[in-house]
Amino acid sequence: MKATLNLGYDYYKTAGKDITNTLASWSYREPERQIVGYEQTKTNSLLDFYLNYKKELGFNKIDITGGYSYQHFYNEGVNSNAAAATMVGARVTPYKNEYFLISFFGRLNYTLLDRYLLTATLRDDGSSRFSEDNRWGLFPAVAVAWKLTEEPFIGKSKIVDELKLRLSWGKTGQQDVGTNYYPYIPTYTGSTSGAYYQFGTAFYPTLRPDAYDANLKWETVTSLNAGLDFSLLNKRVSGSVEVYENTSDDLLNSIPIPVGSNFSNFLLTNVGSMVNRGVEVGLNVTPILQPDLSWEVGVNMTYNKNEITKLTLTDDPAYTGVNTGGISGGVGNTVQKFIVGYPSRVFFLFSQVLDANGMPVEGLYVDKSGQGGNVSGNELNKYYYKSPDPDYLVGISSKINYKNFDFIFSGRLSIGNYVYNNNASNRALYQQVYNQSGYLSNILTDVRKTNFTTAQYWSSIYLENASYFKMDYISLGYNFTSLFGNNLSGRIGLSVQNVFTITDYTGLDPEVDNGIDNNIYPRPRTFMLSISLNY
Amino acid sequence: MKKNTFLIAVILITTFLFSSCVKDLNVEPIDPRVNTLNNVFKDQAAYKQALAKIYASYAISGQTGGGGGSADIQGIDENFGNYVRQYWGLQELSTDEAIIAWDDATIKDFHWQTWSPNDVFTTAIYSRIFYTVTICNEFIRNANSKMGSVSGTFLSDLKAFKAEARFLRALSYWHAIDMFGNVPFVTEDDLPGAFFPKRITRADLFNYIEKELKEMETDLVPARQNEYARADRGAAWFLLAKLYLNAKVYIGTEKNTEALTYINQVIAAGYSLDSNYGRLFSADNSQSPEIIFPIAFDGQNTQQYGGMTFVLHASNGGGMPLNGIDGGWGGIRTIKDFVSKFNISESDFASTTQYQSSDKRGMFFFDKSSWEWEITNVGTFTQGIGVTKFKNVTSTGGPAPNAHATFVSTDFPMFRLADAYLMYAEAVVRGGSGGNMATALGYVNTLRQRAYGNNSGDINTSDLTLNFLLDERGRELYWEGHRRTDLIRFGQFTNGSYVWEWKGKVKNGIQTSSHRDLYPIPINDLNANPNLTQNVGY
Repeated sequence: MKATLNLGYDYYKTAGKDITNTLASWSYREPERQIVGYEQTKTNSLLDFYLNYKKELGFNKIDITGGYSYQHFYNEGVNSNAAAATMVGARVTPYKNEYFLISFFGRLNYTLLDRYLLTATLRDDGSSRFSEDNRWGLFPAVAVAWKLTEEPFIGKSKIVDELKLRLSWGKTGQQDVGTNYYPYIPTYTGSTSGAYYQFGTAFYPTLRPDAYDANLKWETVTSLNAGLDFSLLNKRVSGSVEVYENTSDDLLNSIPIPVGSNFSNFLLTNVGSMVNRGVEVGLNVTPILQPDLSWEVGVNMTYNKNEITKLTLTDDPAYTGVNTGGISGGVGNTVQKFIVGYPSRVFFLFSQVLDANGMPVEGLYVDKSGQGGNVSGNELNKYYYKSPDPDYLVGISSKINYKNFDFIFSGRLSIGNYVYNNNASNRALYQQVYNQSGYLSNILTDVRKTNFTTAQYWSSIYLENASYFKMDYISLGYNFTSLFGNNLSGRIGLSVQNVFTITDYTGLDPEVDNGIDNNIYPRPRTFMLSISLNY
Repeated sequence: MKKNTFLIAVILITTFLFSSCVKDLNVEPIDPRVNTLNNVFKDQAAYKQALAKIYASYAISGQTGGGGGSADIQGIDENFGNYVRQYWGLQELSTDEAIIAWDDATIKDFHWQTWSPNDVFTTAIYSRIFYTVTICNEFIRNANSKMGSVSGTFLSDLKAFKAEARFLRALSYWHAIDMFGNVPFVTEDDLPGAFFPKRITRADLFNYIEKELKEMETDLVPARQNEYARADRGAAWFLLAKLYLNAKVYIGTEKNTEALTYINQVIAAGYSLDSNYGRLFSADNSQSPEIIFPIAFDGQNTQQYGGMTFVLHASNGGGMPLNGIDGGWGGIRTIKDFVSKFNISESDFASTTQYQSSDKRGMFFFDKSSWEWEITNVGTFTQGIGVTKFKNVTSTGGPAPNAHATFVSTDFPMFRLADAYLMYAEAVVRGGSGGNMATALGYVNTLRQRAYGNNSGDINTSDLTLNFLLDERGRELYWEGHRRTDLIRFGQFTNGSYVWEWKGKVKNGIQTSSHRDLYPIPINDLNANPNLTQNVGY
């Protein structure tokens, strides 16, 4: 019997000021914005307490754990225009937020004859983000495994070191919804100075009701896995093959909602259900293993398909789904959908018509509905296109040791991920060349691919196959044991991160979460020379 | 023994943790600026602040001054998704009174009358309208639940507050019926959540607004008795009159007699014409006895790059006098077809940039050395005629109250007495009973005497025609957010009965399709809410 108590406490504090030259246009117009100060303190506390009991009885091994976990996340801060504390229009906006997570958990490991393994767990998770009725989520899981090579009738052989069959089923919960701390509570937010309203001769701060969903609840993921782990040829070859089906229910997402239904146009709510099905193969091979030369190669491959299977708001088969994928440009414009029968965040766009030279014709789209008229004013003319998630993901890594040298690289291949080039759709437009203040502005050269004057946000021309290969990391090192005959040992290494990317995608970077690229900062490429000495 | 103490300790610790800490999950917001519905309304002041939010939702679009964050609505630039800014744009840019040079998204489509259902600006005002409706509903719910437990002035104030919330909801629904027709419909009975609001037809919405205004009228503070910028019975009568005067457009039936009933009440309420027309559009217009209902702005307390800050800045540039602002954004001006209603032509500006015709309501700027009378390129601000009607200085030229060089203090005069006079004349000419031609003529000439400074501009009964009234409304009320509604009521907004420069995206103007008398239901909402249907023609 063992009792364990873990206590954790993290503390971060940041503070800073953005100081603007008084001649900058916005700073000149609004002197109260010349110095903008910010300050934030974050603390995370953790308490874990659990009891563990282990017992061996003949062929049986039992390992039982039961415990409790308590987490508290807290942040507070102040945003201000500090230089102007006494200035008219000075604003000091403090904020403070917190949330709690509490869990009770139990786990049972049972091993029979060292070859039949059973793990059962049960968690009861509580989050302060949900109302009392929906607060607790009960998440069970069961896993069984069979070590085939431990069976006398199979046994180990010269070829096979280890074979293990696995089967598991379990549920987990998801409550992390970013900076939304009280999404189920009807709250009111006050206004700061400058956002008051005049009644009579006095100015009143205002109280605004915030959007909320009283029925918000845990998103649950039910996973079903079957896998085979193997190790062959004296562990020179090892790996696993696994098939899985993960069903997410009550997906949490902030989605655009119909006007009139809440105190905003976006709401964090439980959207629907989604299934992910796939296969994962992992393989580690050591083709060369000699005293002076060794080489290890690792490859893993995932094939995944996902599909929305249910939407919470309505079962109506005619329902055209939930808008998602907000873009830069316009008012609450979206280019993706959650819709039953399609991948999550499937793109929803008009099919661009090209001219004889292969150039897109501005504002001209395929009249899918055959209804004529203003094609771009009719949603029935939009097509469901592709998904932002890749069909295949392949990771590859290699390590070669030769005498004192080592050479390592790792990279990734992503196939079938599509990206909506929001930078091009929003920034590569001829109308932006001329600025009303009378001068010319630079725009993206992507405009040459479309020659569009005004924004055509829903043109399929902006949807690109962003399959890529990325070499994430390469390093070369030299290890020495005695330098200048001294007892000085160490390593000299040269490494590069984000080495190169091969892709047909025309934006900055094809690796975009959720498939909407409005990033204007390239990922840095980092070169590092390292020397370490031991003495 | 040792084992027992350990066990006891464990039991004690765990009991303590389990019992005390599980309660931690019952959070209440700790942010000093955030309250819950359960504790926010601790006193009368809180109700007033919640009411102030509804009014403020027309002026600014977030909880931080200067358009600096915590926006009401996401996916929209806060300053651009401003109620008055977009209301003004949809009502004015689409008409002969205003044209904009900018290339912001599809903003030129308004004057061209070529907008489409995914237009970002129509989506913005549509979202703002229904945002205001939902917070009115919330206020009404909270007032209802408090009503039974208070007494004295708290109760009488709360009744007035609630009536004002109902008035503002009716006002926004009026904007909806006028611009979008058949729209989603929610009342205080629809609790906030994730659901599809039902659709209401234009006719049913008309009945609802009418019924609401009549029911709440007596709960409102009597006309002219409320604090400045808060709605009173005069505002409700005025809105009823607007609804009835446009009834032919909204429901196909003339209701000029009903309109006159309420116009008469407005006129009898004791408002008076401002002797100084210019004051109505200056930074001290809060002092004007003529304004029935304004949206209030203030350089230091009600700041945003929308609302009147937008109207003043966007219409300035090209050497125009600054009138209390720090510079122009060079966007909005008017066109020759409109200034011709003042009998003003290019030659009048031969020796001045600010020609003043005998009708002093025409406040225009034209610098013959750098401006062009005709608009050959919509994107060039200095083609067309500048408008200097609104100013961020007082009527005597002094600094605005709480002056700020960027954020203006001039209020938006949404309803004012002169409009009621012209509505009276129009309802009489259209055959409504409850008024007569002599009084109508008297009202019109009163306005013209103020405009001319004497009776040289007076007209006769025979001049008092519908066409005259449409032009007179333009002269008196231009740039005040009425023009589109007026042109539609007179059948001249779309079609070819009246074309103006660049109407229909043609230099000399051409006819446009009549389905554009209504704006389209924004695609985003059509998509999000299966109960809605698109307006005919889109």
